[in-house]
Amino acid sequence: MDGLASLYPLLAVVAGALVVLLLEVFIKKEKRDYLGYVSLAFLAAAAYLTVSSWNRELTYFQGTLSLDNLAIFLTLLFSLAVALVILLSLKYIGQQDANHGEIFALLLLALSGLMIMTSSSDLLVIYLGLEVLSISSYALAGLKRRDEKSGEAALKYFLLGSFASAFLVLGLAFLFGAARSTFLPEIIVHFGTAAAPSIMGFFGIALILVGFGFKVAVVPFHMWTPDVYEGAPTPVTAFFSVGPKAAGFVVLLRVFMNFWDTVPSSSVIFWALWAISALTMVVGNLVALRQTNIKRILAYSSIAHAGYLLVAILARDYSSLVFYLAAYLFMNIGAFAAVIGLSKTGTEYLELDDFAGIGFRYPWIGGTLTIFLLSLAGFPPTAGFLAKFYVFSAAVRAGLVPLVVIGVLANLVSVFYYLRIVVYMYMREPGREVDIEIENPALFLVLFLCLYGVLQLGIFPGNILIVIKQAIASLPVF
Amino acid sequence: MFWLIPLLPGASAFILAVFGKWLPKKYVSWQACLSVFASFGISLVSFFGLLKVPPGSLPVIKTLFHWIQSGSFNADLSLQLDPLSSIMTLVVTGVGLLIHVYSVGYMAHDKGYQRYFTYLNLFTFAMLILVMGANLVLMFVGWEGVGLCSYLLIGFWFEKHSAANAGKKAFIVNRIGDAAFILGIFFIFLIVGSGDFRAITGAIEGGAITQGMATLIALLLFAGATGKSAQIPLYVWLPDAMEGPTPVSALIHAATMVTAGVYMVSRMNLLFTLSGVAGQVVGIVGALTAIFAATMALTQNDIKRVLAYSTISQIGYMFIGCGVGAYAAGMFHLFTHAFFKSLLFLAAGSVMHALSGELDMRKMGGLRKYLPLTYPTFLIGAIAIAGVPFLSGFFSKDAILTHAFAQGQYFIWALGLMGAVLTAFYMFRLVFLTFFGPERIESHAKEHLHESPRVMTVPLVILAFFSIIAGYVGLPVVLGEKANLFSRFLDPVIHPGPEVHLGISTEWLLILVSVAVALCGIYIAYVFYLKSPRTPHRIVARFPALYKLLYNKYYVDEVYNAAFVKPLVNGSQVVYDNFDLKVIDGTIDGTAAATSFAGKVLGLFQSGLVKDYTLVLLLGVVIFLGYLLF
Amino acid sequence: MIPVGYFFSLSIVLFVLGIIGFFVKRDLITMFMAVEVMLNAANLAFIALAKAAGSPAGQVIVFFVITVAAAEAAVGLAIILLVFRQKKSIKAEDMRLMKG
Repeated sequence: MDGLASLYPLLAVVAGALVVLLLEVFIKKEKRDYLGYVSLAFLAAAAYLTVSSWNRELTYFQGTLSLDNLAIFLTLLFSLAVALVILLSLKYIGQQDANHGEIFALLLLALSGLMIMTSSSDLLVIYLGLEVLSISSYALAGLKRRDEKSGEAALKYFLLGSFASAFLVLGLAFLFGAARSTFLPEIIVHFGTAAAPSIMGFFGIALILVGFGFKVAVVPFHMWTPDVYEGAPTPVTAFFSVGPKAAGFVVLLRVFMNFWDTVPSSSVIFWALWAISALTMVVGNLVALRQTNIKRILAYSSIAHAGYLLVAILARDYSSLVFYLAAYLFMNIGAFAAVIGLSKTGTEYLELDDFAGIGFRYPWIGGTLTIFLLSLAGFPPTAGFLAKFYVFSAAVRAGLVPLVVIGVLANLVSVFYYLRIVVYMYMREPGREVDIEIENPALFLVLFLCLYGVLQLGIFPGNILIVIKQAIASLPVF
Repeated sequence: MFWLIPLLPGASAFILAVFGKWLPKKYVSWQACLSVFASFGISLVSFFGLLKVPPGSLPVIKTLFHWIQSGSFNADLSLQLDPLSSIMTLVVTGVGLLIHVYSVGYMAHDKGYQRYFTYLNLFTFAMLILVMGANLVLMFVGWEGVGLCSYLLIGFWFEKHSAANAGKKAFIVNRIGDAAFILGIFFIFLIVGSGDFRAITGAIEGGAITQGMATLIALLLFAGATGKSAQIPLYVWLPDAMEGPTPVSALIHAATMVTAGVYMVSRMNLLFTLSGVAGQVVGIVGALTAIFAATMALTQNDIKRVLAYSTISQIGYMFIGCGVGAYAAGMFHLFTHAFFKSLLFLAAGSVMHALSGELDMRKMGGLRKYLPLTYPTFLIGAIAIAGVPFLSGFFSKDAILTHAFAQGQYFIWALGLMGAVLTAFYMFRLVFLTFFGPERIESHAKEHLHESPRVMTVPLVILAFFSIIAGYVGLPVVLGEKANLFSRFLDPVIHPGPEVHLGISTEWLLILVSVAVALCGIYIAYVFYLKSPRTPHRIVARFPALYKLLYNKYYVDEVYNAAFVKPLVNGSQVVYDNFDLKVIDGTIDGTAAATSFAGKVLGLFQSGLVKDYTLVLLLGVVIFLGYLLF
Repeated sequence: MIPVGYFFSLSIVLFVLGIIGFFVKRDLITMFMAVEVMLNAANLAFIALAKAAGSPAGQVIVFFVITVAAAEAAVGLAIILLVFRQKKSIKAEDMRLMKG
């Protein structure tokens, strides 16, 4: 159904970004966090507009922008993520020399990119959304202008990102050449009815996968992740770990949902993805073992989680994929929130040794971080456990037993580096003096919201699962 | 309603376990005792309710929830109420209540007060689960639970080495029996497909179990019973268990836990009857244990040790009853024994309390002047256990011996009779040495000599009362077929054994012989310890080797130690050093090191250079495309 | 008329050249130039394929891509400037503060 209303949420977000940019000129340096509140207001408006479009299947731009249920769900998820990140950055930007109101505008613009990516089935529009997201992200990564690591992170992200997106465009060209369209359903149909599998088409798919593989950070396109995560301002890292990853997987969801069945010799792509997934789970978890910087640990952890998510795509259980994304949002942002909590003006405490004894000195931060780490490792009764359980059991049902074995073993390895942090927090004597400034109500709000999310999804996932299933059900199947 | 019976003490135990540290002593006492009291009340009500239930609809079962459902293996959390379990619950909660109250006084100055009542409540809970479980799995859960509580309570004063060791010994020896017990359960599951008692009964009646199989299973189960109920060969833990507080000895090692084996055998009576051999074994082991333990009781100087061996001996009698097919008689003795044995233990505790902890009878004497309540109640207990007519012990012991004789088990009957003499003898030895004769009390103990507080003596009186009258529910058949209320009550559960067809005169003769034997024993004790106190010393001088053998408990502990314990410990050490440390730890540490190394190697790729990153990306693309081409 | 295939091959060659250029060059600006070459090669491929498929839509898409590339370049060059201000160098080897 055609409706301008499908554009409203997007418009709200972009308007918010522009307003913030405008206000930034006039606002005093100390009051920068007011910009944060303004952006939160726009976010709330966008969220409201999104929810009111549920089940209405609105489209615009000749169907290239379609606010179907899945898009609505993801948009809400992304809005929540960005809202949490904004809350985290309110105090952070003042404390850590990143005092630029642009962060809020950039976050909102990145959000708009995410929304575009997930509300469309046309590869061109998806590409546009991806680039909006990416360009905002490059800027976001380098926001700490006097920090060399931040600049290096932005540079690496930019160089590698544009490199990868060149591949993506080439792939787009190939696909277009093969299928004469960039609209996904048409592309799939073309593949399905083609007499012989076209090399160009499959190359196109492969290159597209390279482009999106880069964004979600699967092996071997993951090399940027540790450095970028380490160098970027921590709230931005939190955003990176959740937003682009989720959006990338939603795109993959849309691409592959009908791919396996309609396209003959799709098994070629299947086994390629299988290899990528296995490699990602293994490499991500193994390299994490040796890391001592918590942001790098979380970076490799997010690489590994991308591997688990790929398993869901291979198993064709898309509701478990979306559930995993939701759970992942809470536990990851929560973990980063706890990390942000461990800081004072001018210093962030990011090394493992800094965590020694934190569990007893700052029990709230220690306790919530423990729960998030347990969730990441997949312990019941947290959301992380259920998410992995759903994905792996779907994979077993689909017959992908070797992959599940690899995944479970890799998960086992991951327990080590997650729990090592907990051990440091509770069972090591503090070496250095770690003094943090705890007056950050927004941070604790984020911590508790994420804690609530992790436990709610882990113990009573029923309601969310119903919503997700409804969202998936609204997608066209052929 | 009856399913609340175990749950009330259980809930109390849980609350005490979590909050005990912060609760005041008075509150703890009230909660612990009230929970058992409530349980007892419900047991009584259920008992009377049971009388109204027609035998066909027994047992009454209440399923609390479906616990395990794995494949074809089902185990529900179901509690059942039938005559057998009803009697047991009455005993456990009734005697348990009295002992809880007694403990309030006995443990008043102990710093582990709250912990004590937590364990005591927990034990009550586990024991009730044991006797009320509707299937073997639940019964086994209770079985293990009481074993655990026994360990905890024996080693209650764990700072004392001997107590800690005793607790350990009890647990380990029990475990050996339990291994056989579990095997027995497995076999039952294999054949019957379920642990539910009704299902087992059905299977036996339907002929699903062969006699050979029944023998095997019954023997395995009985092996478990020898551990829990301290029979030959697994009785060695019980005397050591006297390290625990005296009320514990009374409750666990006299009235309830040690009788669990008897309960179990009675519950599975169909199985034992089906296999004639197993019943025979039970009877013989019981008889041998009865006499064996009685001989050891003759020489002990520690009051509680005498009572411990006495318990082992009396349980032997209960197994005699079960072995000859008179399960009701065995249960009857369990019933009466609970009263007078716990009475004896509590009274002994009262004596200890009065003498500031003295246990050695050689340092007592003439106490009847100073302990006006403890002495008479103790005496009543002693008379009851000796089998003097008109008190409870007489009726139950006589029932067992009569049935043994009637079944033609003359050897067992003779052993039982000899045991009765010894029982009367050593019990009154104890009485005379403690309460009569010249005073040999140490001075500092004499200063504080006082009768125990009411909270301790009132239970004594109540137990004494029951020790007298409890026998009247099981009057001997001589006085009429309908006279034995107890046995008739148990009929739905315990299939009546072969009829006792003895002539009236034979019956009366047997009764007279039992009485004579008991009075004989008492008289000999009188002679030995009161009239001519030099006599024991003269006999010891005449037979020094025999005395030494008995005094050292036939050196059984030493033999076990050398034959089993030491080799096992040494062997374990060898395996530990060579296999566990080197092979197993080596593999695990090796795997961890390898994984970490792999991580390090892979991490080397992350060089920091943009070019390297792009190279990897490009390689990925090339490989991907190459793979597609082929 | 020049056959479409030639354009297409040219675009592939350009693409590969861009890749090579990215690896060979040592300073950031020329590396980024190489990426731009890659992007434009892809654009050329688009046009060629659009012509071959007879669909003008492909050629319109090229406009989108050019715009995006321009925006990317703006931000990217700003980042390179930022890095230069911080480290006083634009050689890629000097950017190895973070590794492992």
